[in-house]
Amino acid sequence: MRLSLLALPFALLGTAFLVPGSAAPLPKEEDWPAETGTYKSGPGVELAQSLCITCHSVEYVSTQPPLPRKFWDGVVKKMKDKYGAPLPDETTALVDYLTTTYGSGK
Amino acid sequence: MPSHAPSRRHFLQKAGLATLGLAGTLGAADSVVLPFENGERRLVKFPQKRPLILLTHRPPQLETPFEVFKDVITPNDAFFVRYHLSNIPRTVDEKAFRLEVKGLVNAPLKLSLDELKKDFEQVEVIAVNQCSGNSRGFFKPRVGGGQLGHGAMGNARWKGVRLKDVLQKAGVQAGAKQVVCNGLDTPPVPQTPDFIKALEMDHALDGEILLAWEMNGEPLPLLNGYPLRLVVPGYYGTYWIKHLNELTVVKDAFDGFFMATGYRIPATPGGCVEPGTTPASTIPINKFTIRSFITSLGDGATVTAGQATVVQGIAFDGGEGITEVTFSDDGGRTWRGAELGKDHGKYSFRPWSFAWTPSKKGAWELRCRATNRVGQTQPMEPLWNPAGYLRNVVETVKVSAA
Repeated sequence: MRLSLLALPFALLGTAFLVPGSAAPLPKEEDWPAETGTYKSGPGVELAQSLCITCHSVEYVSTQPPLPRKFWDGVVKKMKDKYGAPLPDETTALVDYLTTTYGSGK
Repeated sequence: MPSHAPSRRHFLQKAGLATLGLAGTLGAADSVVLPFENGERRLVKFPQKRPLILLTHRPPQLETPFEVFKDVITPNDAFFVRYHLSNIPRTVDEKAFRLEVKGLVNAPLKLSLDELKKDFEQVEVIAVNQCSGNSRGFFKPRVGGGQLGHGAMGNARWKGVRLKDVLQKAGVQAGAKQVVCNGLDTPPVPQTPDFIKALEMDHALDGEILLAWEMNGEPLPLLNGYPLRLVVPGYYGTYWIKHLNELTVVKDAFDGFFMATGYRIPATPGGCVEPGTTPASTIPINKFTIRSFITSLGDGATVTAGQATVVQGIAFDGGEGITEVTFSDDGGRTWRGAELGKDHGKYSFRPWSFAWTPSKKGAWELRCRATNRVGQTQPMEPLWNPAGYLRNVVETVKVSAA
């Protein structure tokens, strides 16, 4: 079901590709905005920076409402068990960081 | 400012970002505040888009500023964007692109875009696409997930060919249960489930679903699924697979993550449970709930007492068709019928208007409420489910008359 075999050559084809008759040419590489968001500092920030950043940008975390530890614990478990995120067995420090920095703190 | 339209905090936000040394990287970007806790968002310009409300950067999730819905058709460069997995195609070779049709079919197909355009009847439909989690930020109690205002929806004229015609050319075999739909986007790590959705066979063959290459008379923007996407009128956007390149007919229900675990609603009337509780059983999300919005006035707008103001808005549902919109200027105690505007088809936003004369100066609470052909209407109090889907409560706009 994965289409990396097909997608990869497309990704390598480069940039300035115009669709005939189209008023909206495909984007060039330089048209993409730079990812600027960063994790807030705090104990454990290095875990978020090295782990969470693999699959998604910081707004997945920073736009959440202030939810309790139970929520953040569930999120980390979901990333690991359902999404197959390469997280270590011990994630308490990461959950601590997320709860304190982006959650309700309790 | 409107409860559904973000307030601009241009100066403040610029000042804040300048402190962080980021102002220079933003270009023309501005910022907005969605009206719920932690609702500050940047406006960021992605390819083929005007600056849109940034929910997430990677993968891109972009929300349409609510002012855009004053027009019944949502322009391509303002149309919302929602991806799940960060390996999105940044460009696609249209000539090399093929749609594969396989599985329980008599004659598997590999169709180029040209073949799709030439070998099947081309059809158009004006249809709303809406994210399952549109308006999630307004849930009380709050729930995790994409914290969207009301802008993860849009209405466009889609052109393509019928999924039914393509499946029938391939020849669906007896015992087929679903068609499994996949696109070119892939997960960043191989262990992550790919974003794949399934349509029940009778739905796939009902003639309503399109394989579309054109949106509002232009090729699809890359971020809306170029070169080909599913258009599943009346159904939440999760089924509208972008960069669609693979259809697989299967005999057993597909049990991938985004069908079996994600995108599920409580198996209860209205898809809701007591706030804060967990449903006993769930089903895959399906058709839109009925909604309506005031689009010509936002929270904080000022009107003139004793003078008629034409209040305008939109209404839509899962395809039964809007038959009535009513308007209230007293917080929902009394209702009067609004005038329905041009009917662009049962899957489109239906415009409506109401000539409203505020009788006195002061504060007014304006509401609208839609009803469809089968009598479904919007609840006065919000319904709740743990994933933050299906919001369709009667919304309120607070204005003042001077």
